[in-house]
Amino acid sequence: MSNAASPVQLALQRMLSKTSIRLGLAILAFFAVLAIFAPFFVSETALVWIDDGGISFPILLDLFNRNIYEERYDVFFNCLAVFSPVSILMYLLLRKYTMWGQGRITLLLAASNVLLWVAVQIPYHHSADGLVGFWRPRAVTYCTASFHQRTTSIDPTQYWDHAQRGDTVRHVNGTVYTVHHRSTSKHMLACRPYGEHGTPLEFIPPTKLSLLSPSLTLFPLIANSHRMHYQDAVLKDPGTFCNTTGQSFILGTDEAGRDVAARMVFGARISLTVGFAATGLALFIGLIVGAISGYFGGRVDILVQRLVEIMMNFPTFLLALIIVAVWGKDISTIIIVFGVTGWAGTARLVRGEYLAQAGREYVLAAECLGLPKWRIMFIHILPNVMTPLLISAIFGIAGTILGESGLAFLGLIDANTPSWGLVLNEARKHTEYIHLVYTPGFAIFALVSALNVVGNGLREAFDPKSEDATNQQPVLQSSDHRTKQANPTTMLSFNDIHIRFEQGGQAVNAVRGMSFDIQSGEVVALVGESGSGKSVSALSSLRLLDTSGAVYPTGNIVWKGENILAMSDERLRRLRGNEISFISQEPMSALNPTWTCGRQVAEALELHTQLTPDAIYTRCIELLNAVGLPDPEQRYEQYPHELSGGMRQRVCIAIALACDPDLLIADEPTTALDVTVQAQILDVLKELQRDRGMAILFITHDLGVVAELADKVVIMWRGEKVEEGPVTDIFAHPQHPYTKGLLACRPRLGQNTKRLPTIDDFLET
Amino acid sequence: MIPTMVGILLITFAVVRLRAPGLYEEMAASGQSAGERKADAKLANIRSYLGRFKRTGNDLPAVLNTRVWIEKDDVIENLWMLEKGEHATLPAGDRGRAEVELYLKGRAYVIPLLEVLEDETLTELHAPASEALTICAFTPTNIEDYAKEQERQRIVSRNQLLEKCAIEFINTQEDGYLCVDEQYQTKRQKLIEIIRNEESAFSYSTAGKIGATFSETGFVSIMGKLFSGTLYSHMKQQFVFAIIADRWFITFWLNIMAIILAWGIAVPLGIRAARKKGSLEERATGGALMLLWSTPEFFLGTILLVHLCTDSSYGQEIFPSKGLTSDDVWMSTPAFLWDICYHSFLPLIVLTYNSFTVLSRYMRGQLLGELSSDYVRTARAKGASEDQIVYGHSLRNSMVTMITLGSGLLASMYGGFIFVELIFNIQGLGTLLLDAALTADAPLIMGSTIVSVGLLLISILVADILYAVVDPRIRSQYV
Repeated sequence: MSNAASPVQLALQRMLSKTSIRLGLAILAFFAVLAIFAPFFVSETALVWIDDGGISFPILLDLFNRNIYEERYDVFFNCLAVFSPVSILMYLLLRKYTMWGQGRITLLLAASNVLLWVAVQIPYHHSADGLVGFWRPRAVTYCTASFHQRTTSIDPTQYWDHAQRGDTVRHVNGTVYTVHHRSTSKHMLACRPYGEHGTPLEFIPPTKLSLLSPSLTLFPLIANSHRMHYQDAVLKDPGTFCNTTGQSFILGTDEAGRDVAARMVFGARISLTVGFAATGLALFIGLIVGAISGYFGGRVDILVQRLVEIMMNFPTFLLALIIVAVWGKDISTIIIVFGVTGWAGTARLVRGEYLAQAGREYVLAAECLGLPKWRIMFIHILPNVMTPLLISAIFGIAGTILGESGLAFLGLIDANTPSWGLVLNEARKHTEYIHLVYTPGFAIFALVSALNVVGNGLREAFDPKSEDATNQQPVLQSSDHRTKQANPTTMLSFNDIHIRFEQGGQAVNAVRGMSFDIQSGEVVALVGESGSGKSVSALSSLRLLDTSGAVYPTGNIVWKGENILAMSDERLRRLRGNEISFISQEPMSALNPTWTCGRQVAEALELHTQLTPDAIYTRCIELLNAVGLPDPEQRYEQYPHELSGGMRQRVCIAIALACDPDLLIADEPTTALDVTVQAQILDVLKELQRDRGMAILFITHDLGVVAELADKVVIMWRGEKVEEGPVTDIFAHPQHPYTKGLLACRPRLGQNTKRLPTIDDFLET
Repeated sequence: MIPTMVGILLITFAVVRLRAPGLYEEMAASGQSAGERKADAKLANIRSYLGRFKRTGNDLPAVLNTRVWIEKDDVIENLWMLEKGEHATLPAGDRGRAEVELYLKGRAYVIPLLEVLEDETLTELHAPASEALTICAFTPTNIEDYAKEQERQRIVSRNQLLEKCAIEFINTQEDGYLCVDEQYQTKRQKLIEIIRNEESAFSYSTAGKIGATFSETGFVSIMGKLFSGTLYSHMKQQFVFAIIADRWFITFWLNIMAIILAWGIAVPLGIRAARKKGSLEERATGGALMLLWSTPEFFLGTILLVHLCTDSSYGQEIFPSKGLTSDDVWMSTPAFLWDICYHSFLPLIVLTYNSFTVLSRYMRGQLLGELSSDYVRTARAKGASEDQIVYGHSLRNSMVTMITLGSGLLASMYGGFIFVELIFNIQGLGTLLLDAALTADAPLIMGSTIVSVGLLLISILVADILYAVVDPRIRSQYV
């Protein structure tokens, strides 16, 4: 395999190959762009304005106008709007003309953005006139009147009928004003001096005004403000045209006369701000608490775990609700509340990861170097827990966004914030206007499901085990369907069998071209080191690997003239346990923990015989007795966890022997047991084999066992058979270098070797 | 379990307590304490607030009561501090607050104040001390504290008697404390007599002081009320548990039904998904569940409300949008059951869909894990069919996780109730908590919290029992 792509890159590639995840990422990007560039989509300020004075871009100057964008997060996003294109450009330039690394450039740009944000904040201070400072709005807000639709020369006497909010007008005395609204009661126009936002309105008779007009204007797509209450446009359906502004409301208006579409766009800012900031805070707290708890352990750990337990058990949303209701409904409270209530899950995750990492060699090495603890915790271990943390963070963001919208839906957010949930809240009262339901609802739904899909995709990509063990049907492409069996006493024969595992796009050839026969009544030992394919071969003879994604491209396994690989499920079930049975390597996990041992033995009999329940019970007791379990009646009623490993393995043997099989496949039945128990189990097997005359396929890497038990030996190495023959021949005259090596590697009593040879000493590489 | 419960209650208490307005703020808010006012107006006022404060435990320090260690000298200093004359140390603006704080100290200050009053050398302080004394020794007569009305009336008349004994005085810039009462001595003697009679109720032994430091606190006081059931909501003018008792059935019914439904749908769905793993059907269902999982409860709820519960151009009133039962009280039992099912149909949909999507995902994952385990291989080697393996062997083993998640539902659904009850106009515990939070009604918040904590404890208990039923390994630890 090439080293070109790191595991992370591979995982990301795997993730991006799915359409759903690409769609999710696209939706996220859409919302991010919407949030960052919101003023360019929704604003009363013109994007481009050309008049006698030349061309200007009013929107750029308005981005830092505190009268329009007073919230801190708005200013932050506006900074991003200006800075992100600049930074992309700078990134490309720096990549091209400097030798700096990716990380350094990213860091530099991120730092500059934060600096810009801070710089924008600083010069503000409050005074009697409101906000003043360096960023005091010097620009003019060019408002949204559709001048180009009207004639520029309106008779001043008729101007009253045509005046619209945002018109730029010149007073007879020369001052330039912006029209705010028509005052119906006084028959006057409420105007403000051109560009002076905070100043009081002046009421001027329309006869004293003349209209100024630009030659070309370009307004944003939605030329309405997200905060303005349009008095004569309360609860309008989508597409309604508004006479005061000369604009239509694409998605209608809410009960306060605000443009729903505008609120949606700015709502993305709220959702993303709360989602990211609160999750960031929760991650920060959780990371520190979890790292300390997991790395130090002991009493600190117990204390912290208790706290985490309390926080995990507490219905977080309720706590958030209580805090927000009691403490205040502004965005920063909500961020802090979700941050402070949401850290427990992260802490638990990080603690678990740290506990797992704390004993690793690299951590010990770092400790031996005498590095300070914080450095080990956050510089050495942290990168290794980043992936699970990132995944949980994405789900955390989705959860927080849901939480924020939920709070807003309950009315627990400042009524002036353009939060999505707040619009949905109004829908509850005004059921006639379904745009109030679906617009915010779908916005929340799209953002949250996109996050969930991406989070899920990440999880699957980094942990292929969890999802990708696909339940493929075995591909039986046996080219050779002839059931070749020369010797009539041959029971099972492997004919040039290939076994391959396919998982997550990667294929592993476990067995390559393996052939051997088992005669009836014969004990065959299948010997080889771990990973040589011996267990896989054995399991294949019962087709127990089908669910693990095993594929058999060529060859076949023949049982008394039938090809096992081509058997129907029904026939296979009758074969399993009845004609061929199986004992596994792990007695500790091979029994169902929720069934009594007796029931598990009885099940085999129920499946393959027609015996009455009483007869089955008697037979079970016999079997348990036969495998050497003392007190079989009592064992019958006991659960596996009440027995020792040796006893469990005896129960497994009893299950395997229940139906008097012709062949018993024993997959390293003694490996997991201690030496004395091993000997007892082998004795039991030997005795039973002698009494019943069944064949055994014995898989092992213990040559002592082979010598004691087997008639024939098959040696496997790296998925291939290297040697086969009667046990005495193999031990006396090994042919293959691997076999020689295997035999020489046995430690022998009374022989004083300096070093025990290993297999590699006998194989030229 | 118990520490968890205490922890949760402590957190809620802290949240409510940290933001609770002080007595002075509350009085200022109701416009009674601003500026100079007559002494008796202030006193009467303070007394009416004291009762309310006692209800929330806000008259006591939050978790540590150091007042019991106060001595006579501290009190003298305290009284001088409030003077406007030559001893004044406080700026005028803070004096009102400091006065209120002094009056709020309650029983711990009674004996030191009495000693000041008895001290013949401190004549100047007698009048202010008597005023402080009458308030500190004042016993609030909240109706919830008295089982018998006569007993309460006795305390009321005792309070009135006490009130009359306050020596009138003025506090001026030029002269400081100035007694203006003609009956100065008689009132003083009378007051000393009354308090001396009740001395045992106000004095502490050293051990008593140590005990009171920890026990006479806001937290202990409200916990005591919580567990004795005497928590009283001032805003609702009712006992908290009476309010909860009125509404618990609705929440209980919805909760039980929702959990049964969520389980009933999730388990078969999960099994089917696990067995059909990798098939088109499974992936389609998985995707649909994923999307359903991302749908906010309040969004789906509002959609259902708009289209199925209201008559408009977009919907028809097929289902009721108000309450959980009809107003008709004379229904036969079958009719009542039908009525409640009909009313709770939509709320249940909104409550369950989120849970069963999560549950079925876990069910699928868990079952898949079990199906690849060793004992399943043994069963396959025995010749058991897939049905026997899934239902006979694996299902029971995968139940432990499902029980954990299911029990978590009981408590976590509480959040969902708020939305459902708000949308469908149901007067249950969810809207109660929302109301309580919005009006900052501390006793009601604590009451609602204990209900959710109670649900949590019940669910942990039920889960523990179910674990033992399902898994013999866990059972053997107890039997």
